[in-house]
Amino acid sequence: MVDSLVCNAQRRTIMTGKARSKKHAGTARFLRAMAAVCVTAIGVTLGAPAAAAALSATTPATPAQASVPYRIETVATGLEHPWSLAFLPDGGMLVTERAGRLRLIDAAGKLAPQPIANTPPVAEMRQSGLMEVAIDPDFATNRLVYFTHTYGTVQANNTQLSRARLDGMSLSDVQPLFLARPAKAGGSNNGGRLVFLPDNTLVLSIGDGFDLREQAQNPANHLGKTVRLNRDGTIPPDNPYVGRAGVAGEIFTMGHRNMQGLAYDAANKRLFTHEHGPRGGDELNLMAAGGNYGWPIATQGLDYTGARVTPYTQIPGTQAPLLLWTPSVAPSGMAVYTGERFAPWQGDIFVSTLVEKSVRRVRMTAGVPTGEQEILFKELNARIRDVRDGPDGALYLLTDEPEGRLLRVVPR
Amino acid sequence: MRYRGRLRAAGHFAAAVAVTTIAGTIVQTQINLHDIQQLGVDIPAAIRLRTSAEDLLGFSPTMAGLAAAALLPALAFAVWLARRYRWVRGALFALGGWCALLIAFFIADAVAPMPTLVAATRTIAGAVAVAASGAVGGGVFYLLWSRSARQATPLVARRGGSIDG
Repeated sequence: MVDSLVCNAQRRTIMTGKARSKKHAGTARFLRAMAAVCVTAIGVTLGAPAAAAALSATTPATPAQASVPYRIETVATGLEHPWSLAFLPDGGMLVTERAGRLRLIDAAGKLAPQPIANTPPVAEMRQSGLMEVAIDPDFATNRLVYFTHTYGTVQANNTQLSRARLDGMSLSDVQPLFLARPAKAGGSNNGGRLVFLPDNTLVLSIGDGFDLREQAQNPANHLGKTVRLNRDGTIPPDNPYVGRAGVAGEIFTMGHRNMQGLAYDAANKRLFTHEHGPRGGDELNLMAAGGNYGWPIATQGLDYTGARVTPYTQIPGTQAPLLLWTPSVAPSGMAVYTGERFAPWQGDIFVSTLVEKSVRRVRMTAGVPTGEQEILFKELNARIRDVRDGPDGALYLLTDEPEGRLLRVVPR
Repeated sequence: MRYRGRLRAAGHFAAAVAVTTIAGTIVQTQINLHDIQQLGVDIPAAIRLRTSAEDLLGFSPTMAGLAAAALLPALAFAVWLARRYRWVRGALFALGGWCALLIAFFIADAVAPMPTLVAATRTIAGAVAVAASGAVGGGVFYLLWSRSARQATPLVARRGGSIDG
């Protein structure tokens, strides 16, 4: 046995150069295989949420009959990741591009080649940059435009509300009205939608900042909240938490994850929001002043990794959603249809989606969901960032693409 | 013979990944539940157990992927080092597994679209705690590897020879 070991040792020591190079080739093969396994494993791990998200497109809708025949017209193309649009009294439109450009489309539907000047600098990331645009309800007299954008850097940023006066192709008197605090790292979960209420206030959605999800339950800051502000950015005295020590007076509701849809139903005096769940658990909510909507202590969704965020889907003292989408559809924009051209759609809520690449028509009766939904515009095969109820009775869509489109849906 | 050796090494590696996955999953669940408890939510033991079990089903594929990707190069390197520095072999495997998991979390966060892929690793303490599962996995691999090396090594070699062969 000792002889055998010695022989083996001798055999190793007298290995020829050719054998050594063979051994090195074997080592290299092993290392290459190892690297391939590592890359594959990381890819599989990181691909899991994406795969889950892809499955989200299968979220069922209660079948509704194809309600109204429609035709989709292209109004403008070449918009880089458009995020929001606002209708001007003269028939024109303002469209934001995530990279920080505010674009003007005139009443004839022609996109101005140059963006509107003097928009404030934005921190553009995958989910943030220049987001919402809305015109003042008294725009015809004051020319005021409101927009939300991301302030700060990749390491420390959050959502800001700014206001400016629109003078032709330029903004003037650009004023920051509100900065969501604290700043958070990364570009995820910024919220950023706003809606005007008839009492001269506005409501703005702020995301939970992803890594700071527990802060959605902390009333001392703005993360995971909606805030209600006067149009000049001051705090309305009748806000639900005004005057409480250690509580941010701007807060209107709390316990949210990432709300990218806000719509006010004027006929029924109801404010609706929707929010992205993590993996499942997308919600449509009816807003009540001072309400707690449960994130992250109660949710129907799982974390992207498949881990439970919380053991509970409902907790006493928190508001249950009106509707849930599991698997996720990734709701991105919302409108209540008030026009005349699609009579069967009147009063219904339309929710644009990114993952499902559709618009969900949520049938409503007197401001309450009937339980029926219709999946529309799948034929576009595009992530839809926003849906709007046009003043002409058409429905307007923005597609989330590098060469994004503004589309108009009219009866056929 | 060589084929059997490789098969045995693969089995040891699979065991290390499995142990790391189970330990890491359980630790991350407790961290997440702790964060929820800090918000004033009561979590009785039965709910804690149920949630841990659910995560063993739901989260473990992600953890297994990370563990496999992290431990493969780490344990291969540890084997190489252990043949040279025999007096610290056990510590090498445990430390290697721990560091590998930490690096894997760091890489995953850099590559993933969200700031942090595994929520329980959002804080340094959380990342260190979940990565400790890699040390357990590394330790398991060392125990199996050293045992099988002893079994495969002739008596004379054990008394003063090498286990390299």
